[in-house]
Amino acid sequence: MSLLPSVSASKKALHAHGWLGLLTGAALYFICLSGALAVFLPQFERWEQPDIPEYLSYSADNIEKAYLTALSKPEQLGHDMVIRLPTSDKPRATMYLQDGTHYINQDGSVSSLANHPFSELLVNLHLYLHLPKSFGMILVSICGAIMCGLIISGFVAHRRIRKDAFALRLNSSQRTADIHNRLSVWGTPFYLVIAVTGAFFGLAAWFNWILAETLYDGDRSAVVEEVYASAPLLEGIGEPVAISKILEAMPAIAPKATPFYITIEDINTPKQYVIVGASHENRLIYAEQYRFAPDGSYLDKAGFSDGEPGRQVIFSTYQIHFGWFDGLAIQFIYLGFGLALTVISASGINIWLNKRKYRDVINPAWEGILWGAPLAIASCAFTQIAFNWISVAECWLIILAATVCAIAINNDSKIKSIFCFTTGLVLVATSIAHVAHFGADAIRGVSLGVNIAGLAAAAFMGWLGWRSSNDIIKATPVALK
Amino acid sequence: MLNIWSYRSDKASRSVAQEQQPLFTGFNGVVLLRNLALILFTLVVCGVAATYLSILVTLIFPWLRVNQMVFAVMLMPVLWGSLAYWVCAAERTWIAAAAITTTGAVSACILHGI
Repeated sequence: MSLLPSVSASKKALHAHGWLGLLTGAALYFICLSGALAVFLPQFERWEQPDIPEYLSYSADNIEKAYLTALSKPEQLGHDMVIRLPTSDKPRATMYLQDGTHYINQDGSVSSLANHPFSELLVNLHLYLHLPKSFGMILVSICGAIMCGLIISGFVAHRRIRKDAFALRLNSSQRTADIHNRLSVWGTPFYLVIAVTGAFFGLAAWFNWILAETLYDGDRSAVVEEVYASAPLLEGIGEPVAISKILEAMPAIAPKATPFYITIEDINTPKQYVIVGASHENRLIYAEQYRFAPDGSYLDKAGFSDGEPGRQVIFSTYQIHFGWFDGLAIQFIYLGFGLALTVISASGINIWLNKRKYRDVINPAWEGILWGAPLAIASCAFTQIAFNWISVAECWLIILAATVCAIAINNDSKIKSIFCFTTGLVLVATSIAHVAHFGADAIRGVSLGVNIAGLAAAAFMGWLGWRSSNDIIKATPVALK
Repeated sequence: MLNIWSYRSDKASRSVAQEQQPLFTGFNGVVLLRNLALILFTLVVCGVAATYLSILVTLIFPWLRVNQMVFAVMLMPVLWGSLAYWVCAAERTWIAAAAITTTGAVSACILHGI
Protein backbone atom coordinates (compact mmCIF):
# COMPACT_ATOMS: atom_id res chain seq x y z
CA MET A 1 0.00 0.00 0.00
CA SER A 2 1.34 3.39 -0.95
CA LEU A 3 1.49 6.06 1.70
CA LEU A 4 1.32 8.69 -1.02
CA PRO A 5 -1.95 10.57 -1.45
CA SER A 6 -3.89 9.82 -4.63
CA VAL A 7 -3.38 11.94 -7.74
CA SER A 8 -6.83 13.41 -7.28
CA ALA A 9 -6.15 14.26 -3.59
CA SER A 10 -2.87 15.90 -4.59
CA LYS A 11 -4.58 17.97 -7.26
CA LYS A 12 -7.22 19.15 -4.83
CA ALA A 13 -4.55 19.87 -2.22
CA LEU A 14 -2.62 21.90 -4.78
CA HIS A 15 -5.73 23.92 -5.53
CA ALA A 16 -6.32 24.55 -1.82
CA HIS A 17 -2.61 25.34 -1.30
CA GLY A 18 -2.72 27.89 -4.10
CA TRP A 19 -5.91 29.51 -2.80
CA LEU A 20 -4.72 29.74 0.81
CA GLY A 21 -1.33 30.97 -0.40
CA LEU A 22 -2.90 33.73 -2.44
CA LEU A 23 -5.11 34.71 0.48
CA THR A 24 -2.22 35.20 2.89
CA GLY A 25 0.91 35.26 0.67
CA ALA A 26 1.48 39.00 0.63
CA ALA A 27 0.82 39.38 4.37
CA LEU A 28 3.06 36.39 5.09
CA TYR A 29 5.80 37.97 2.99
CA PHE A 30 5.81 41.14 5.14
CA ILE A 31 5.47 39.14 8.38
CA CYS A 32 8.33 36.78 7.48
CA LEU A 33 10.67 39.47 6.14
CA SER A 34 10.23 41.69 9.19
CA GLY A 35 10.28 38.66 11.50
CA ALA A 36 13.57 37.40 10.05
CA LEU A 37 15.14 40.82 10.69
CA ALA A 38 13.45 41.21 14.09
CA VAL A 39 15.42 38.20 15.33
CA PHE A 40 18.23 40.76 15.72
CA LEU A 41 16.05 43.26 17.56
CA PRO A 42 18.33 43.40 20.64
CA GLN A 43 21.25 44.27 18.34
CA PHE A 44 19.23 46.85 16.37
CA GLU A 45 18.18 48.58 19.61
CA ARG A 46 21.81 48.88 20.69
CA TRP A 47 22.82 50.03 17.18
CA GLU A 48 20.27 52.85 17.26
CA GLN A 49 21.72 54.18 20.53
CA PRO A 50 25.38 53.11 20.49
CA ASP A 51 26.40 55.94 22.84
CA ILE A 52 24.58 54.46 25.86
CA PRO A 53 27.13 53.09 28.39
CA GLU A 54 26.97 49.31 28.61
CA TYR A 55 27.81 47.11 31.59
CA LEU A 56 27.13 43.60 32.83
CA SER A 57 27.98 43.84 36.53
CA TYR A 58 25.66 45.84 38.75
CA SER A 59 25.14 46.30 42.44
CA ALA A 60 21.78 45.51 44.04
CA ASP A 61 22.02 48.78 46.00
CA ASN A 62 22.26 50.80 42.78
CA ILE A 63 19.20 49.07 41.27
CA GLU A 64 17.33 49.92 44.47
CA LYS A 65 18.56 53.51 44.19
CA ALA A 66 17.05 53.74 40.66
CA TYR A 67 13.78 52.28 41.98
CA LEU A 68 13.64 54.83 44.84
CA THR A 69 14.34 57.66 42.37
CA ALA A 70 11.34 56.55 40.31
CA LEU A 71 9.26 56.14 43.46
CA SER A 72 9.87 59.79 44.36
CA LYS A 73 7.87 60.79 41.26
CA PRO A 74 4.48 59.06 41.77
CA GLU A 75 3.08 60.63 38.59
CA GLN A 76 5.61 58.51 36.63
CA LEU A 77 4.36 55.24 38.09
CA GLY A 78 1.88 53.00 36.34
CA HIS A 79 0.09 49.92 37.64
CA ASP A 80 3.31 47.92 37.64
CA MET A 81 6.99 48.77 37.40
CA VAL A 82 9.42 46.69 35.37
CA ILE A 83 13.18 46.95 35.81
CA ARG A 84 15.28 45.06 33.27
CA LEU A 85 18.71 44.07 34.47
CA PRO A 86 21.75 44.03 32.15
CA THR A 87 22.36 40.76 30.29
CA SER A 88 24.95 39.68 27.72
CA ASP A 89 22.57 40.26 24.76
CA LYS A 90 21.38 43.57 26.20
CA PRO A 91 24.00 44.93 28.59
CA ARG A 92 21.88 47.92 29.62
CA ALA A 93 19.57 48.19 32.64
CA THR A 94 16.23 49.84 31.92
CA MET A 95 13.16 50.92 33.84
CA TYR A 96 9.68 51.21 32.30
CA LEU A 97 7.86 54.35 33.50
CA GLN A 98 4.78 56.23 32.29
CA ASP A 99 6.74 58.49 29.93
CA GLY A 100 8.68 55.60 28.40
CA THR A 101 11.68 53.37 29.05
CA HIS A 102 14.60 54.96 30.92
CA TYR A 103 18.14 53.64 31.05
CA ILE A 104 19.70 53.07 34.46
CA ASN A 105 23.36 54.02 34.76
CA GLN A 106 25.79 51.72 36.53
CA ASP A 107 25.82 54.10 39.55
CA GLY A 108 22.03 53.76 39.89
CA SER A 109 21.10 57.16 38.48
CA VAL A 110 18.17 57.21 36.06
CA SER A 111 19.36 58.23 32.61
CA SER A 112 17.90 59.23 29.25
CA LEU A 113 14.90 57.71 27.51
CA ALA A 114 15.40 54.66 25.32
CA ASN A 115 14.84 55.72 21.72
CA HIS A 116 14.87 53.07 19.00
CA PRO A 117 12.03 53.89 16.60
CA PHE A 118 13.43 51.83 13.72
CA SER A 119 13.45 48.68 15.87
CA GLU A 120 9.88 49.49 16.94
CA LEU A 121 8.80 50.01 13.33
CA LEU A 122 10.30 46.67 12.38
CA VAL A 123 8.76 44.71 15.23
CA ASN A 124 5.39 46.46 14.80
CA LEU A 125 5.40 45.41 11.14
CA HIS A 126 5.97 41.83 12.26
CA LEU A 127 3.45 41.83 15.09
CA TYR A 128 0.66 44.03 13.69
CA LEU A 129 1.47 44.80 10.03
CA HIS A 130 1.30 48.45 11.23
CA LEU A 131 -2.45 48.08 11.72
CA PRO A 132 -4.25 49.01 14.97
CA LYS A 133 -2.65 46.69 17.52
CA SER A 134 -5.59 44.50 18.58
CA PHE A 135 -6.82 43.98 15.02
CA GLY A 136 -3.34 43.66 13.51
CA MET A 137 -2.20 41.05 16.00
CA ILE A 138 -5.29 38.91 15.37
CA LEU A 139 -4.76 39.19 11.61
CA VAL A 140 -1.10 38.17 11.91
CA SER A 141 -2.05 35.25 14.14
CA ILE A 142 -4.70 34.11 11.66
CA CYS A 143 -1.92 34.08 9.05
CA GLY A 144 -0.07 31.71 11.41
CA ALA A 145 -3.07 29.37 11.48
CA ILE A 146 -3.45 29.50 7.70
CA MET A 147 0.28 28.79 7.42
CA CYS A 148 -0.40 25.49 9.19
CA GLY A 149 -2.97 24.77 6.46
CA LEU A 150 -0.43 25.71 3.80
CA ILE A 151 2.16 23.33 5.28
CA ILE A 152 -0.30 20.41 5.42
CA SER A 153 -1.77 21.04 1.96
CA GLY A 154 1.73 21.56 0.54
CA PHE A 155 2.79 18.11 1.72
CA VAL A 156 -0.32 16.42 0.32
CA ALA A 157 0.09 18.28 -2.99
CA HIS A 158 3.75 17.33 -3.35
CA ARG A 159 3.61 13.74 -4.65
CA ARG A 160 7.26 13.73 -5.75
CA ILE A 161 8.45 14.71 -2.29
CA ARG A 162 10.89 11.76 -2.00
CA LYS A 163 12.03 11.73 -5.63
CA ASP A 164 12.67 15.46 -5.64
CA ALA A 165 14.08 15.63 -2.12
CA PHE A 166 17.41 16.99 -3.39
CA ALA A 167 16.38 18.37 -6.79
CA LEU A 168 17.34 21.97 -7.37
CA ARG A 169 17.17 22.74 -11.09
CA LEU A 170 18.30 26.36 -10.99
CA ASN A 171 18.75 26.67 -14.76
CA SER A 172 15.42 25.26 -15.84
CA SER A 173 11.84 26.44 -15.90
CA GLN A 174 11.42 24.48 -12.64
CA ARG A 175 13.70 26.95 -10.83
CA THR A 176 11.04 28.83 -8.85
CA ALA A 177 9.06 25.68 -8.03
CA ASP A 178 12.22 23.83 -6.93
CA ILE A 179 13.35 26.65 -4.69
CA HIS A 180 9.84 26.90 -3.20
CA ASN A 181 9.52 23.14 -2.64
CA ARG A 182 13.02 22.43 -1.33
CA LEU A 183 13.00 25.31 1.14
CA SER A 184 9.48 24.37 2.24
CA VAL A 185 10.09 20.66 2.76
CA TRP A 186 13.43 20.88 4.56
CA GLY A 187 12.35 23.66 6.90
CA THR A 188 8.92 22.28 7.76
CA PRO A 189 9.48 21.54 11.48
CA PHE A 190 10.72 25.09 12.02
CA TYR A 191 7.89 26.68 10.03
CA LEU A 192 5.26 24.63 11.88
CA VAL A 193 6.66 25.70 15.26
CA ILE A 194 6.79 29.34 14.14
CA ALA A 195 3.22 29.16 12.80
CA VAL A 196 1.76 27.59 15.96
CA THR A 197 3.61 29.87 18.40
CA GLY A 198 2.87 32.91 16.21
CA ALA A 199 -0.83 32.08 16.16
CA PHE A 200 -0.79 31.74 19.95
CA PHE A 201 0.28 35.36 20.61
CA GLY A 202 -2.66 37.02 18.89
CA LEU A 203 -5.32 34.42 19.58
CA ALA A 204 -4.55 33.96 23.29
CA ALA A 205 -7.14 36.57 24.30
CA TRP A 206 -9.83 34.98 22.11
CA PHE A 207 -8.96 31.53 23.45
CA ASN A 208 -8.95 32.84 27.02
CA TRP A 209 -12.47 34.20 26.50
CA ILE A 210 -13.83 30.93 25.12
CA LEU A 211 -12.12 28.89 27.87
CA ALA A 212 -13.52 31.23 30.54
CA GLU A 213 -17.04 31.06 29.09
CA THR A 214 -17.03 27.28 28.72
CA LEU A 215 -15.01 26.04 31.69
CA TYR A 216 -14.83 28.85 34.29
CA ASP A 217 -18.29 30.50 34.28
CA GLY A 218 -16.94 33.54 32.45
CA ASP A 219 -14.11 34.20 34.91
CA ARG A 220 -11.19 35.10 32.62
CA SER A 221 -8.75 35.77 35.46
CA ALA A 222 -9.31 32.18 36.63
CA VAL A 223 -7.99 30.93 33.26
CA VAL A 224 -4.93 33.16 33.53
CA GLU A 225 -4.27 31.99 37.11
CA GLU A 226 -4.61 28.33 36.10
CA VAL A 227 -2.00 28.71 33.37
CA TYR A 228 0.34 31.40 34.74
CA ALA A 229 -0.09 30.73 38.51
CA SER A 230 -2.23 32.84 40.79
CA ALA A 231 -0.94 36.05 42.34
CA PRO A 232 0.01 35.86 46.02
CA LEU A 233 -2.56 37.42 48.33
CA LEU A 234 -0.83 40.07 50.42
CA GLU A 235 -2.11 42.84 52.67
CA GLY A 236 0.66 45.34 53.22
CA ILE A 237 0.70 49.10 53.52
CA GLY A 238 2.25 49.89 50.15
CA GLU A 239 5.68 50.37 51.70
CA PRO A 240 8.84 50.70 49.50
CA VAL A 241 10.11 47.37 48.24
CA ALA A 242 13.41 45.96 49.52
CA ILE A 243 14.90 45.47 46.03
CA SER A 244 18.45 45.14 47.28
CA LYS A 245 17.56 42.45 49.84
CA ILE A 246 15.60 40.51 47.21
CA LEU A 247 18.41 40.54 44.65
CA GLU A 248 20.95 39.51 47.28
CA ALA A 249 18.73 36.59 48.32
CA MET A 250 18.45 35.20 44.79
CA PRO A 251 21.76 33.22 44.65
CA ALA A 252 20.68 31.26 47.72
CA ILE A 253 17.15 30.62 46.40
CA ALA A 254 18.11 29.70 42.82
CA PRO A 255 21.89 29.26 42.52
CA LYS A 256 21.80 28.32 38.82
CA ALA A 257 19.34 31.03 37.74
CA THR A 258 20.32 34.46 36.42
CA PRO A 259 17.90 37.26 37.33
CA PHE A 260 17.18 39.57 34.38
CA TYR A 261 14.06 41.46 35.31
CA ILE A 262 12.17 42.66 38.37
CA THR A 263 8.47 43.46 38.28
CA ILE A 264 6.69 45.23 41.12
CA GLU A 265 3.04 44.31 40.63
CA ASP A 266 0.31 46.67 41.91
CA ILE A 267 3.02 49.11 42.90
CA ASN A 268 2.40 51.30 45.98
CA THR A 269 -0.78 49.44 46.91
CA PRO A 270 -1.39 47.05 49.85
CA LYS A 271 -1.44 44.16 47.34
CA GLN A 272 1.98 44.88 45.85
CA TYR A 273 4.47 42.05 45.46
CA VAL A 274 7.70 41.50 43.58
CA ILE A 275 8.53 39.09 40.77
CA VAL A 276 12.15 38.35 39.92
CA GLY A 277 12.35 36.81 36.45
CA ALA A 278 15.41 34.60 36.07
CA SER A 279 16.71 32.69 33.08
CA HIS A 280 17.78 29.07 33.46
CA GLU A 281 20.66 27.75 31.40
CA ASN A 282 19.82 25.18 28.70
CA ARG A 283 16.09 25.79 29.09
CA LEU A 284 13.71 27.23 26.50
CA ILE A 285 11.51 28.92 29.11
CA TYR A 286 11.59 32.71 28.99
CA ALA A 287 12.05 32.86 32.77
CA GLU A 288 11.14 31.33 36.07
CA GLN A 289 9.32 33.82 38.26
CA TYR A 290 10.45 34.02 41.88
CA ARG A 291 7.96 35.94 44.00
CA PHE A 292 8.69 38.04 47.05
CA ALA A 293 6.78 40.14 49.58
CA PRO A 294 7.68 43.86 49.63
CA ASP A 295 9.82 43.37 52.76
CA GLY A 296 12.05 40.97 50.80
CA SER A 297 10.76 37.68 52.23
CA TYR A 298 10.60 34.90 49.62
CA LEU A 299 7.12 33.57 48.87
CA ASP A 300 7.34 30.96 46.10
CA LYS A 301 8.00 30.45 42.40
CA ALA A 302 5.46 30.27 39.59
CA GLY A 303 6.61 26.87 38.34
CA PHE A 304 7.59 27.68 34.76
CA SER A 305 10.86 25.75 35.16
CA ASP A 306 9.64 22.60 36.89
CA GLY A 307 5.86 22.84 37.14
CA GLU A 308 3.23 21.19 34.96
CA PRO A 309 4.35 20.57 31.33
CA GLY A 310 1.63 22.94 30.08
CA ARG A 311 3.00 25.78 32.16
CA GLN A 312 6.54 25.11 30.92
CA VAL A 313 5.39 24.97 27.29
CA ILE A 314 3.40 28.19 27.46
CA PHE A 315 6.36 30.10 28.91
CA SER A 316 8.65 28.76 26.19
CA THR A 317 6.63 30.03 23.20
CA TYR A 318 8.23 33.48 23.24
CA GLN A 319 11.81 32.19 23.13
CA ILE A 320 10.98 29.52 20.58
CA HIS A 321 9.23 31.99 18.28
CA PHE A 322 11.89 34.71 18.31
CA GLY A 323 15.04 32.59 18.68
CA TRP A 324 16.31 34.55 21.66
CA PHE A 325 18.09 31.71 23.41
CA ASP A 326 21.64 30.39 23.32
CA GLY A 327 23.14 33.44 21.67
CA LEU A 328 24.14 34.57 18.20
CA ALA A 329 24.37 31.15 16.51
CA ILE A 330 20.66 30.49 17.12
CA GLN A 331 19.83 34.01 15.93
CA PHE A 332 21.62 33.38 12.64
CA ILE A 333 19.84 30.04 12.22
CA TYR A 334 16.52 31.81 12.81
CA LEU A 335 17.53 34.52 10.32
CA GLY A 336 18.25 31.81 7.74
CA PHE A 337 14.93 30.02 8.26
CA GLY A 338 13.07 33.34 8.44
CA LEU A 339 14.52 34.47 5.11
CA ALA A 340 13.76 31.02 3.65
CA LEU A 341 10.14 31.45 4.70
CA THR A 342 10.16 34.92 3.10
CA VAL A 343 11.41 33.39 -0.16
CA ILE A 344 8.76 30.65 0.09
CA SER A 345 5.99 33.26 0.52
CA ALA A 346 7.24 35.27 -2.45
CA SER A 347 7.99 32.32 -4.72
CA GLY A 348 4.58 30.79 -4.00
CA ILE A 349 2.88 33.83 -5.50
CA ASN A 350 5.41 33.87 -8.35
CA ILE A 351 4.52 30.25 -9.18
CA TRP A 352 0.84 31.20 -9.32
CA LEU A 353 1.63 34.18 -11.55
CA ASN A 354 3.71 32.03 -13.91
CA LYS A 355 0.96 29.41 -14.14
CA ARG A 356 -1.51 32.03 -15.36
CA LYS A 357 0.38 32.16 -18.70
CA TYR A 358 -0.51 35.80 -19.16
CA ARG A 359 0.50 39.10 -17.63
CA ASP A 360 -1.70 41.83 -16.28
CA VAL A 361 -1.32 44.55 -13.68
CA ILE A 362 -0.85 42.03 -10.84
CA ASN A 363 2.55 40.87 -12.21
CA PRO A 364 4.43 44.17 -12.04
CA ALA A 365 2.47 45.31 -8.95
CA TRP A 366 3.56 42.20 -7.04
CA GLU A 367 7.14 42.67 -8.23
CA GLY A 368 6.98 46.25 -6.92
CA ILE A 369 5.69 45.11 -3.52
CA LEU A 370 8.26 42.32 -3.39
CA TRP A 371 11.29 44.51 -3.98
CA GLY A 372 9.77 47.68 -2.54
CA ALA A 373 9.51 46.16 0.96
CA PRO A 374 13.27 45.75 1.59
CA LEU A 375 13.82 49.19 0.09
CA ALA A 376 11.20 50.67 2.43
CA ILE A 377 12.73 49.03 5.51
CA ALA A 378 16.25 50.14 4.52
CA SER A 379 15.00 53.68 3.80
CA CYS A 380 13.32 53.90 7.21
CA ALA A 381 16.60 52.90 8.87
CA PHE A 382 18.43 55.52 6.81
CA THR A 383 16.09 58.44 7.57
CA GLN A 384 16.09 57.52 11.27
CA ILE A 385 19.90 57.50 11.49
CA ALA A 386 20.55 60.43 9.12
CA PHE A 387 17.70 62.78 10.02
CA ASN A 388 16.29 61.32 13.26
CA TRP A 389 12.98 60.97 11.42
CA ILE A 390 10.94 57.89 10.72
CA SER A 391 7.27 57.06 10.26
CA VAL A 392 4.99 54.21 9.34
CA ALA A 393 3.61 56.36 6.51
CA GLU A 394 7.13 56.64 5.07
CA CYS A 395 7.44 52.86 4.98
CA TRP A 396 4.14 52.30 3.19
CA LEU A 397 4.45 55.28 0.86
CA ILE A 398 7.75 53.87 -0.39
CA ILE A 399 6.11 50.48 -0.99
CA LEU A 400 3.22 52.24 -2.78
CA ALA A 401 5.63 54.31 -4.89
CA ALA A 402 7.61 51.17 -5.72
CA THR A 403 4.42 49.44 -6.83
CA VAL A 404 3.40 52.37 -9.05
CA CYS A 405 6.91 52.55 -10.56
CA ALA A 406 6.89 48.79 -11.16
CA ILE A 407 3.54 49.00 -13.00
CA ALA A 408 4.99 51.81 -15.12
CA ILE A 409 8.17 49.82 -15.90
CA ASN A 410 6.29 46.51 -16.40
CA ASN A 411 9.42 44.41 -16.78
CA ASP A 412 10.23 42.03 -13.92
CA SER A 413 13.98 41.89 -14.44
CA LYS A 414 14.24 45.65 -14.76
CA ILE A 415 12.08 46.20 -11.66
CA LYS A 416 14.16 43.76 -9.62
CA SER A 417 17.42 45.23 -10.88
CA ILE A 418 16.46 48.85 -10.13
CA PHE A 419 15.06 48.17 -6.66
CA CYS A 420 17.92 45.86 -5.63
CA PHE A 421 20.54 48.43 -6.64
CA THR A 422 18.59 51.20 -4.87
CA THR A 423 18.22 49.12 -1.69
CA GLY A 424 21.95 48.35 -1.77
CA LEU A 425 22.78 52.04 -2.09
CA VAL A 426 20.44 52.98 0.77
CA LEU A 427 22.03 50.32 2.98
CA VAL A 428 25.51 51.69 2.24
CA ALA A 429 24.25 55.23 2.93
CA THR A 430 22.76 54.05 6.25
CA SER A 431 26.08 52.62 7.45
CA ILE A 432 27.92 55.79 6.36
CA ALA A 433 25.31 57.97 8.11
CA HIS A 434 25.64 55.86 11.26
CA VAL A 435 29.41 56.35 11.36
CA ALA A 436 29.05 60.07 10.59
CA HIS A 437 26.45 60.50 13.34
CA PHE A 438 27.91 58.39 16.14
CA GLY A 439 31.65 58.49 15.31
CA ALA A 440 33.75 56.02 17.31
CA ASP A 441 30.65 54.46 18.91
CA ALA A 442 29.57 53.26 15.46
CA ILE A 443 32.71 51.24 14.82
CA ARG A 444 32.88 49.10 17.92
CA GLY A 445 30.95 46.22 19.43
CA VAL A 446 27.46 45.49 18.22
CA SER A 447 27.23 48.69 16.16
CA LEU A 448 30.24 47.64 14.11
CA GLY A 449 28.64 44.23 13.59
CA VAL A 450 25.34 45.71 12.43
CA ASN A 451 27.10 48.17 10.10
CA ILE A 452 29.18 45.40 8.56
CA ALA A 453 26.05 43.26 8.19
CA GLY A 454 24.37 46.24 6.49
CA LEU A 455 27.26 46.51 4.01
CA ALA A 456 27.16 42.74 3.39
CA ALA A 457 23.42 42.98 2.73
CA ALA A 458 24.11 45.90 0.37
CA ALA A 459 26.65 43.78 -1.53
CA PHE A 460 24.12 40.94 -1.78
CA MET A 461 21.41 43.28 -3.07
CA GLY A 462 23.90 44.70 -5.55
CA TRP A 463 24.70 41.17 -6.77
CA LEU A 464 20.98 40.39 -7.14
CA GLY A 465 20.54 43.63 -9.09
CA TRP A 466 23.53 42.85 -11.31
CA ARG A 467 22.17 39.35 -12.05
CA SER A 468 18.80 40.78 -12.99
CA SER A 469 20.37 43.42 -15.23
CA ASN A 470 22.10 40.53 -17.06
CA ASP A 471 18.69 38.88 -17.47
CA ILE A 472 17.40 42.04 -19.18
CA ILE A 473 20.25 41.91 -21.69
CA LYS A 474 19.97 38.15 -22.33
CA ALA A 475 16.18 38.06 -22.54
CA THR A 476 14.46 37.54 -25.86
CA PRO A 477 10.75 38.10 -26.47
CA VAL A 478 8.74 35.02 -25.53
CA ALA A 479 5.06 34.56 -26.25
CA LEU A 480 3.43 33.39 -23.05
CA LYS A 481 0.05 32.71 -24.57
CA MET B 1 -15.99 38.51 -17.79
CA LEU B 2 -16.61 42.11 -16.80
CA ASN B 3 -14.05 44.25 -18.56
CA ILE B 4 -14.17 47.30 -16.34
CA TRP B 5 -10.73 48.56 -17.29
CA SER B 6 -9.34 49.02 -20.73
CA TYR B 7 -6.22 50.90 -19.66
CA ARG B 8 -3.01 49.80 -21.35
CA SER B 9 0.27 51.21 -20.19
CA ASP B 10 2.44 52.79 -22.89
CA LYS B 11 5.50 51.65 -20.97
CA ALA B 12 4.23 48.09 -21.15
CA SER B 13 5.14 48.03 -24.82
CA ARG B 14 8.79 48.50 -23.79
CA SER B 15 8.79 45.29 -21.80
CA VAL B 16 11.44 42.99 -23.20
CA ALA B 17 10.73 39.49 -21.97
CA GLN B 18 6.96 39.21 -21.70
CA GLU B 19 4.22 39.17 -24.24
CA GLN B 20 2.13 42.32 -23.97
CA GLN B 21 -1.31 41.90 -22.49
CA PRO B 22 -3.74 44.57 -21.26
CA LEU B 23 -2.61 45.52 -17.75
CA PHE B 24 -6.14 45.74 -16.41
CA THR B 25 -8.32 42.87 -17.56
CA GLY B 26 -11.29 43.08 -15.17
CA PHE B 27 -12.81 40.40 -12.96
CA ASN B 28 -15.62 37.89 -12.76
CA GLY B 29 -18.30 38.96 -10.27
CA VAL B 30 -19.51 35.43 -9.47
CA VAL B 31 -16.00 34.17 -8.86
CA LEU B 32 -15.33 37.21 -6.68
CA LEU B 33 -18.42 36.55 -4.55
CA ARG B 34 -17.55 32.87 -4.20
CA ASN B 35 -14.04 33.73 -3.10
CA LEU B 36 -15.30 36.32 -0.61
CA ALA B 37 -17.59 33.70 0.92
CA LEU B 38 -14.68 31.27 1.10
CA ILE B 39 -12.47 33.90 2.74
CA LEU B 40 -15.15 34.56 5.37
CA PHE B 41 -15.53 30.85 5.96
CA THR B 42 -11.81 30.01 6.25
CA LEU B 43 -10.96 33.02 8.39
CA VAL B 44 -13.97 33.09 10.71
CA VAL B 45 -16.05 29.89 10.74
CA CYS B 46 -13.04 27.54 10.55
CA GLY B 47 -11.38 29.52 13.37
CA VAL B 48 -14.41 29.32 15.67
CA ALA B 49 -14.96 25.64 14.88
CA ALA B 50 -11.26 24.86 15.45
CA THR B 51 -11.33 26.63 18.83
CA TYR B 52 -14.32 24.68 20.18
CA LEU B 53 -13.19 21.41 18.65
CA SER B 54 -9.66 21.66 20.05
CA ILE B 55 -10.99 22.37 23.56
CA LEU B 56 -13.44 19.48 23.33
CA VAL B 57 -10.80 17.07 22.05
CA THR B 58 -8.29 17.92 24.79
CA LEU B 59 -10.90 17.50 27.53
CA ILE B 60 -10.95 13.80 26.63
CA PHE B 61 -7.39 13.38 27.91
CA PRO B 62 -7.03 12.61 31.63
CA TRP B 63 -4.69 15.52 32.21
CA LEU B 64 -4.65 18.44 34.60
CA ARG B 65 -6.66 21.43 33.40
CA VAL B 66 -3.56 23.58 32.73
CA ASN B 67 -2.11 20.90 30.43
CA GLN B 68 -5.43 20.43 28.64
CA MET B 69 -5.74 24.16 28.00
CA VAL B 70 -2.19 24.61 26.73
CA PHE B 71 -2.50 21.57 24.46
CA ALA B 72 -5.76 23.01 23.09
CA VAL B 73 -4.06 26.37 22.40
CA MET B 74 -1.30 24.61 20.45
CA LEU B 75 -3.68 22.29 18.63
CA MET B 76 -6.09 25.02 17.53
CA PRO B 77 -4.00 26.68 14.75
CA VAL B 78 -3.15 23.28 13.24
CA LEU B 79 -6.81 22.31 13.30
CA TRP B 80 -7.82 25.70 11.87
CA GLY B 81 -5.37 25.34 9.01
CA SER B 82 -6.52 21.77 8.36
CA LEU B 83 -10.19 22.79 8.23
CA ALA B 84 -9.34 25.69 5.90
CA TYR B 85 -7.45 23.25 3.67
CA TRP B 86 -10.36 20.80 3.67
CA VAL B 87 -12.97 23.38 2.70
CA CYS B 88 -10.74 24.73 -0.10
CA ALA B 89 -9.87 21.29 -1.43
CA ALA B 90 -13.34 19.76 -1.23
CA GLU B 91 -15.01 18.95 -4.54
CA ARG B 92 -18.35 19.98 -3.08
CA THR B 93 -17.42 22.95 -0.97
CA TRP B 94 -20.81 23.24 0.67
CA ILE B 95 -20.63 19.70 2.10
CA ALA B 96 -17.28 20.43 3.77
CA ALA B 97 -18.60 23.81 4.94
CA ALA B 98 -21.73 22.22 6.41
CA ALA B 99 -19.70 19.49 8.14
CA ILE B 100 -17.32 22.03 9.67
CA THR B 101 -20.16 24.30 10.78
CA THR B 102 -22.07 21.39 12.33
CA THR B 103 -19.00 20.02 14.11
CA GLY B 104 -18.16 23.48 15.47
CA ALA B 105 -21.76 24.09 16.56
CA VAL B 106 -22.08 20.68 18.28
CA SER B 107 -18.74 21.21 20.07
CA ALA B 108 -19.86 24.67 21.21
CA CYS B 109 -23.19 23.30 22.47
CA ILE B 110 -21.46 20.54 24.46
CA LEU B 111 -18.95 22.96 25.98
CA HIS B 112 -21.54 25.60 26.83
CA GLY B 113 -23.77 22.90 28.26
CA ILE B 114 -26.67 23.67 25.97
